[in-house]
Amino acid sequence: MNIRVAIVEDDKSVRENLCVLINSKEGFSCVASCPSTEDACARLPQLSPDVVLMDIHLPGKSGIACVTKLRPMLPKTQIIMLTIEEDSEQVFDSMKAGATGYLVKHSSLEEILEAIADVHSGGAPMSSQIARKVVTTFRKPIEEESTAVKLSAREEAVLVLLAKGYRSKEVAKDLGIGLGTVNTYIRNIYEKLHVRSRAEAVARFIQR
Amino acid sequence: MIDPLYLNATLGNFTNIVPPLIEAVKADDLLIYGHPAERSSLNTNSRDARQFIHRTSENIPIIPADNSHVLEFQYTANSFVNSKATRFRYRMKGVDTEWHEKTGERVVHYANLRPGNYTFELISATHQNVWNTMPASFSFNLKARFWETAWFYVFCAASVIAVVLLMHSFRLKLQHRLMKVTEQQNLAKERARIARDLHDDLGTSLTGLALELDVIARKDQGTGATSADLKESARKTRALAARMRDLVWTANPACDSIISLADFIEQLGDQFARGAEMRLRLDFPGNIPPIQLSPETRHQLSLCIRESLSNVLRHAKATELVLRLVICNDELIVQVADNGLGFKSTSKNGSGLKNMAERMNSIGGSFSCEPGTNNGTTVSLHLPLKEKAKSR
Repeated sequence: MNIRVAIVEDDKSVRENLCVLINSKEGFSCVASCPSTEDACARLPQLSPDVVLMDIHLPGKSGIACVTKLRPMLPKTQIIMLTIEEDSEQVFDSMKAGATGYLVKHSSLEEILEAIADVHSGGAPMSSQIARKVVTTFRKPIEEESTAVKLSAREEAVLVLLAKGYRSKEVAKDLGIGLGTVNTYIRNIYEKLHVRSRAEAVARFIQR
Repeated sequence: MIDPLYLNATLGNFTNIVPPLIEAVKADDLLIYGHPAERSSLNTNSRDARQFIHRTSENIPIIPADNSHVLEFQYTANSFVNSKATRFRYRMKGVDTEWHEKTGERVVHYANLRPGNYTFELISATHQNVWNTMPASFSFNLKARFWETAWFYVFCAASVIAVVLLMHSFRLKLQHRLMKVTEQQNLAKERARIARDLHDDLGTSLTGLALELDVIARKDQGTGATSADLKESARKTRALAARMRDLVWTANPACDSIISLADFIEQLGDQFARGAEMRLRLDFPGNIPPIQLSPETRHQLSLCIRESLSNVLRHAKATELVLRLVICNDELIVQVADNGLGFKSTSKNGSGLKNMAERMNSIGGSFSCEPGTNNGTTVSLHLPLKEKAKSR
């Protein structure tokens, strides 16, 4: 069973070549390549891909807005952001919107495929900058009870190690747990971050 | 027939009088003419002329001007015959050209006198019209009120000039600041545009090119040599894209902060650690304050960090790399520490270290390279933040 990948990227050369390369690899198939947020929102819900590669900087509606829209329609799809410069602020916003990973565009094809396979098999990459931001976010006092999503002690321990630059494997070794468990923790953290920021957005909307 | 009268300040002796003798003159309650002993005939409150009146260098009494602008002269004459009918004539030299005459009332007012020297003259006559031939004469200097003095005019003029100058300099300063702000904004806009162009056009095109080379390499499976060449080209293109990313980072005004520097350091460290299979440990503050850093500062810092990392990679044979970011006491400290062989100064790496020291000096910071706590080497980059905060 191939991993079904969709690409949302405005640059034609990147989009088409990436699609060709993904198709040429065994175990991967590119089911859609969309040049814009509008196109992605129209086509991807029916296709229901396993993994979406999403450019952060899209003309018109940004990739982050696109994630916000797609996420409720595609709850099982993993979204990986593509960026040129690793701007932790934007990457963090993408995570809050529901993305579960990011890649620098000029990563090699092997790295891209590895990331897709990793995310598909339950992996969850998280850079230390993002981990730090998540810790800070969850330590902020909560204004509304409805947004009261908290991290468990274990999840917090994982985050603290990630913030120190530990890779997932090193976290597993340090905490004496399996890599799969670490990934589950990180997935949960992403999910809580997403739920919390969505609740916050709703609270903000109601307050207005 | 008419005896001349001797009217001077030392009155006292006089003989028989036909015209009445001017006894005393008071100006604004000050006895200015006459003997103090006789003041009772005028007003008991009179002050002693000699005691209270200041004098000019020419010994002319100075009469202080009061705010009413009216100078009052009271006078009296000693007449033994029908004193009520005593007639007076007065004139103020410098104001009056002719004598004015008054009968009965013994008071004269002068209003709006300009400050300066005056002489008040008074003569009297009996009802039979026998006049003094020598007037009782009193010279005085009417003191200028403070707003009539020359220094006050000078002061006013100076104040006006000062205010005008101040306003002008303030306007210039404001204009200058406005220009500077506009200039900075324009510069930031220009930098943002360059960053965007580099990012959107060149960066993406390079990535596209690398992928295209990958595709061609894949199609060209038959001849292994060409395929390897193409893969190498793709790798080089990706390296170019990575350099481009650094350039964009330096140029982009949105990255002018310590937060962005932290992102940059982490990515760079990750890149180096991954390549050398080192453990990477980050020691960053949990909450990085949004302190601005100038592009020049970021540029020099990033080059120093890159140089330190390359040194670790080339010389240290380390298994662990620690990147530390400390903000305390208005100072930013970036440390690159390894657990490798330790630091040996050779002529080759010596020039690299000198370069780093010069770079840090150029942005007002300092550089040090010391043995680490658990062997290895620790490079510290210190940057004072106080001036940055002020210039913001």
